[in-house]
Amino acid sequence: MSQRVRLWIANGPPGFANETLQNSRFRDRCRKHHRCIGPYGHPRLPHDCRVGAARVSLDCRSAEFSGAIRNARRQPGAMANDDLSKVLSGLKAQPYGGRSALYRWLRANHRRLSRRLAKDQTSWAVTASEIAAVGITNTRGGPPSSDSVRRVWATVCRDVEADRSAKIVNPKRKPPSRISPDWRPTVVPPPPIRAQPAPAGSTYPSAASSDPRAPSRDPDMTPEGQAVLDKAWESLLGADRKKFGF
Amino acid sequence: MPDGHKSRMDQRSLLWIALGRQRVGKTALLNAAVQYFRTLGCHIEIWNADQQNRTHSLSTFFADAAVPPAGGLADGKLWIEGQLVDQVNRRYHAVLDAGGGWTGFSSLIEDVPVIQALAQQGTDVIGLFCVGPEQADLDYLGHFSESGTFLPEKTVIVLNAGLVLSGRSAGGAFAAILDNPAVKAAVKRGAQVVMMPTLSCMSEVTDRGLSFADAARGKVKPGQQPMSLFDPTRVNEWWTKKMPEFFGKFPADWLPTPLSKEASRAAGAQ
Repeated sequence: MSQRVRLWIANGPPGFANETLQNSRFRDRCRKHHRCIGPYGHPRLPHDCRVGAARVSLDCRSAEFSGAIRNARRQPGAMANDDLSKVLSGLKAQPYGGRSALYRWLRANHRRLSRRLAKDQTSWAVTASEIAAVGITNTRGGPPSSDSVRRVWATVCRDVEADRSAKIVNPKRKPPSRISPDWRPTVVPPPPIRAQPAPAGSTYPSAASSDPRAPSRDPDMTPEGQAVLDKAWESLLGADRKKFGF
Repeated sequence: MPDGHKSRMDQRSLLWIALGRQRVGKTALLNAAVQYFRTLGCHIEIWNADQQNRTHSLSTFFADAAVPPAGGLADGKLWIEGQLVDQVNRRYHAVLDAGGGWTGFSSLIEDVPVIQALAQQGTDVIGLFCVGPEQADLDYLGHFSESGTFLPEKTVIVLNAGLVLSGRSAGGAFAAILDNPAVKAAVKRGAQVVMMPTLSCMSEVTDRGLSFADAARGKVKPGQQPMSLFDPTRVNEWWTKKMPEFFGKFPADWLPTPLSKEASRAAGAQ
């Protein structure tokens, strides 16, 4: 069984990383604990990593990483910057490295797939068979089952959403100096007055109809009934004018 | 009649029935109405069917208020029915405080088309639905409208301004009430909507058991503390100006009219 280990990558002045590794209590080769800064991954190593998180578990089967760590521990100084650059560029060239072929394919085609899956509500069995037909395999090299497609798709959706949320949480602030000098705040128009204006020739007082608190007019109300309501409303307003002066 | 008053047999009897939730001002309205129209010379009898209020009921203010005998709902219903028959026979105006909740009156109107039966006998029923600013105050109006059990043509929705919270405008408090579908439906059927003016010291008057006229004069009953300095002025303003204006908004034929002197003496004697 492969052992899950963690990779500590110390980012500091020369000598710092070696000191960290040497001073680390995890000096046993079989119990290496690693820490990764950023979403690095190895193409053959499964890992889960969150953006900006500092905890990554790497399977230390990779000779490349083992060699890098051995070199770091052998040399008195820190891991050389050029070695680190090589590792980082290697990782960058392989997006979603460490994931299965199924994951990488679903992740790369997430946008179009999500639309299709939502539109047709296709079953996972049919989806899995179509994916297998184009040669996408599971980690064991065989055709992916409907259950594995469903689970990996859920993981892909979660990771995509996490990426999207991270971008929203940390929006790029626009410095004030980059705002156009012609920018002006949007003028919000006042809300429309609810009551309709009184019909011409009616005895309804205009003051009542222009009040936004006035009761709405029922189109089915009889003229006599509307007169009753308007008269009642006017008496309420009259009482308010006497009491409050408005 | 030559003096302008109607004889007892010419005029139709009016029955004012106050309905509404507890504490919306039914008793205050009927109390003011009886005092007002009796001052004008109208003969009005008082039927106090509100068994739940003891301190501020019509019986507190009017010694001649009729009350049902102690009993249950059926007794109250029979008592009201008897009063209605008496009114038809003797032809006088009356006010009925039906009380809140399910009462003998509610039971009676579920059983009998009261309005139509009384109209045929010369008695017009005027429904006074007292409401405050709360939507729940319209439950009675909504219930009677939906069930169709009590939909008098002569209906007055009385907006009790005295229930508006201090500092709040009457317009803001009652705008939603005027927008209520039950109110609009009642208005379409011919209901009137009138605002009852507020009397800030109403409780000072009613707690002392004073009539409004006596309170306006600053009368003090033995053993009672006098009202505050400005309260009699407030009562006077309310009683002599605002309440006549309030009743003036009612259609004229919905108001009790004074009987001729002979008819009054005859009605009082019976």
